[in-house]
Amino acid sequence: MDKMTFDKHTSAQFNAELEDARKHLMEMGGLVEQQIETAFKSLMEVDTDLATRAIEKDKDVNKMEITIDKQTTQILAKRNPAASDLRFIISVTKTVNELERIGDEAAKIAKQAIELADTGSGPQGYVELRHIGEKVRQMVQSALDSFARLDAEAALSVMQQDKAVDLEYGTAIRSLVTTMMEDPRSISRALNVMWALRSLERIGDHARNIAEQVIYLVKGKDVRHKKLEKVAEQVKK
Amino acid sequence: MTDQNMNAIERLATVKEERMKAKLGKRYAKEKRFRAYGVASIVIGLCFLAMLLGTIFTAGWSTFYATEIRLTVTYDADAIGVSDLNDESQLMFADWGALVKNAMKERFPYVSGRSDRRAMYSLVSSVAEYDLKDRLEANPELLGTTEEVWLMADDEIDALMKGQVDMSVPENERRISDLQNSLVESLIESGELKKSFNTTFFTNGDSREPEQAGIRGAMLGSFFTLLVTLALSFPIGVAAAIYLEEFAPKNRLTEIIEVNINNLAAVPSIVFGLLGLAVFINVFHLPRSAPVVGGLVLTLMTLPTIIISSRSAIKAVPPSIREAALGLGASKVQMVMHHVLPLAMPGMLTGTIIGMAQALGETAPLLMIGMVAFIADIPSGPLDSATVLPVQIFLWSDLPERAFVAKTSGAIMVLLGFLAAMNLLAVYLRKKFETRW
Amino acid sequence: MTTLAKDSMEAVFEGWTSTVGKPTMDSDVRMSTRNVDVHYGDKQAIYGVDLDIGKNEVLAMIGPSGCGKSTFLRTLNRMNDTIDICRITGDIILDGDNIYDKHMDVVNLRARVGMVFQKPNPFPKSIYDNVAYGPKIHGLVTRRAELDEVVETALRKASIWDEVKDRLDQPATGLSGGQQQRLCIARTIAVSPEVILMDEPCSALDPIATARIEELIAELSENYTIAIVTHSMQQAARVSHRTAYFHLGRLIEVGKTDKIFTAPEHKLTEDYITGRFG
Repeated sequence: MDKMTFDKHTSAQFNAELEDARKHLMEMGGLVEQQIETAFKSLMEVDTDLATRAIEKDKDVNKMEITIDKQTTQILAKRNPAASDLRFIISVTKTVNELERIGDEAAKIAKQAIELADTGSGPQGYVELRHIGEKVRQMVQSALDSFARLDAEAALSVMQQDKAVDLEYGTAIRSLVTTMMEDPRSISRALNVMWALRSLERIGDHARNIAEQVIYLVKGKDVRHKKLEKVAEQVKK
Repeated sequence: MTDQNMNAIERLATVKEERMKAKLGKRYAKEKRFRAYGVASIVIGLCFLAMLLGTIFTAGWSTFYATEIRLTVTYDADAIGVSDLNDESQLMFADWGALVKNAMKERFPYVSGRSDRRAMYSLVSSVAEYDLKDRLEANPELLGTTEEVWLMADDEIDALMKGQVDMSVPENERRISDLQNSLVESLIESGELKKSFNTTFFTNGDSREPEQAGIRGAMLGSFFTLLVTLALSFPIGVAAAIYLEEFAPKNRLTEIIEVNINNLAAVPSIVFGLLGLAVFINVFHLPRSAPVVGGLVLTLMTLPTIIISSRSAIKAVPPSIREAALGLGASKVQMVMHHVLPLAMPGMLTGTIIGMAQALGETAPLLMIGMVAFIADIPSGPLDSATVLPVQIFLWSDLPERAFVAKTSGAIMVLLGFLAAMNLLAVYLRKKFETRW
Repeated sequence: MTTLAKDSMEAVFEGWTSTVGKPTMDSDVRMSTRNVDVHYGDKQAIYGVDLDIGKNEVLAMIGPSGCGKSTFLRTLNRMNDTIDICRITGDIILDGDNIYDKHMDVVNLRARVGMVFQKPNPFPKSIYDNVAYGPKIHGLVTRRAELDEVVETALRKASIWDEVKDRLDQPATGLSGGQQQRLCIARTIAVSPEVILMDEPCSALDPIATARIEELIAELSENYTIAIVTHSMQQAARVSHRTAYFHLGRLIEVGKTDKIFTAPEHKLTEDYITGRFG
């Protein structure tokens, strides 16, 4: 199939509406990326101010969600979109949903950062945390990029990364459990870290969902709950 | 914003109001003038129509009334010279005029002298005696009795009664003598002279005597002619129209036929008369002056009209109806017979009646086939010699007697009446059978 | 369309070989066309269309104006026969019979493949006579009571019985547009066809009447095979099981309606469905 475009509709207004929705989605993605970055930084540096800012940002993200949902509803009602337009609207709606959840998870991470700060300690020594955090941030960025560029292959690689993140998450949890068994005094701190890890892992899942939406949008194939090899096959086709 | 930056439309907007105002007055004046022209042309048309109808009515109205004189007639066998009413040889030499003469002599015993008596006798129509003859033959028992009868007055007396005779000119320059005038006056006084509805006009055939001339022969002639025309041209015309419109392949041949039909509609009618003379009379030896030949000729003349109007009626049937019928599996003939024809019928009927009306008013082609002869007998069928209404009018308009002027106009009124009736019928049929879809 | 644009459009088809998707079926085929070309005089209107229509299937045909979808529909019951310059080659098979075979009677064919037209076109006769006309001309019924029954059943199946049962002797032209179209459908099913062709049946109707016809199409598909040409893509999406997209006389893409309207494969289909200029 040729490169997808969302202009060239007979109705120039329709073009503008779709472009508007796309722009807002990207804007929201940017907000969420910032939020993750801030939250993660606050966790790493045990910075309460940063954490509060990350939590505050969630409000903006929520506002964006409502704005974009309104736009997509309008387009559905007025334009009866079909084919690629329909897939675009559906994937925008779902991506917005995922982004909002990512925002929620970022806020949760920030909350863990505040709790860790209250106990006066940081998550120092947890290499896995930094590693996973960095990776997940990358994933969200790539997922949004692939959406912007309508690049199914990039989306596929995001899905593949998620698998790696899941593996690393398992390892990290096991090592945390070991730490807790060795040193029961660290349990509360380790639990905070665990929650943060869990949120990061969830963010990774959401990024994967976004990537799935990108593949649906570009290829018209529903790749949710499918084996990665199968997905790869369909993307290459 | 400067003038340079304004585009043409914006510049226009600034001067729009005043320019429009200036133009508007002119526009309205133009429209008013145009409407006035239309009204004027209609008024002129109506004036001509009113003048035409006015002259015809004023001239022809009197023909529907006739003057009659009451006489006391004695059916005296000696006077007529007939003893047995069943004896053909006696009837041949009977003097029916004597009945009228005797009655007149009895009524005005003081009139004497040959010329005065002759003037007196001529008060009554010269054909009145035959009315008496008919009456006596129908009722033989009247022989020898006396009765009062209303007899038709002479056309000159009729004209006098209708005020068409100027009595102020010298006696030798008018056709009514002073004696006749005085006799008429005395008849009026005693109530023995009256004006009544002229049934003769509608019951008699043509005659050289104006008071006896009627249009029954011409009416029946027209009737038989139109009957033949209708019986031939409607089925032929409709069948041709259906074939050309629905079945004929669209090729050079049908195109030529089409063009020729359209041209035939414009051919002068007298050409059809020549054709009828050459073909029907000279080749097929059909009787001259007969309505059947007239009908054939008029069929040729009306066919193009009927075909053209029928075709446009068929064309006006929406194609969706045809598709519906074909889509259900109707054959082409079923489609035409069940749907197209019923829907086109009002249009076809209208066209046919218009064609018939044309045929009714046609004179020229009938002159060519001899329907212009003087025929006093009333035709009893399409093969009898006859004339038709417009030809009758043409014939009468040529005759010198004053009374024929009125007869001519009267016949025109009858003809116009028939035409109007036929057109009304066309309107009625169209309204009645018209289906809206 | 300018000649230039047309030329470039022809260029699009230079390499055109076959229809995207699966135009043929393996089983339950009611009608099938193979390599059908239609010419109007020198102009070719349909280029080698292969297409199967299944039993109890609703097939929608969509495409821009002049794409040949109506022409193709009308070849299915030989309605193009009335046009002298129209020439059709290829095979159109209805239940094993080639409908352009010499031995195929067109009157018979049209009793088997009925048609509903764009504009409701009831005969200017009574409602009863409209429905009774088909059975009468084909001699399907022998008794009046039987005819009454056929008329009632047809009107019921077209879900218009309740609206007209008290005025069967009144002119059909007095009905509303939507009722007229349902009457036309009743008229078509009164001869119990195997296939019903519909040529933009709702284009002259308001949305509510349209919805009723669409509902009716869904009901009818239980007993009949329906091929419908429509300009409304929403309608095609709502009523049909499979959708065929025509473009400049070619069958571009065929597929399950769900698929065509969410993820068409051919660019032309995509552009048409999403309302982009060609």
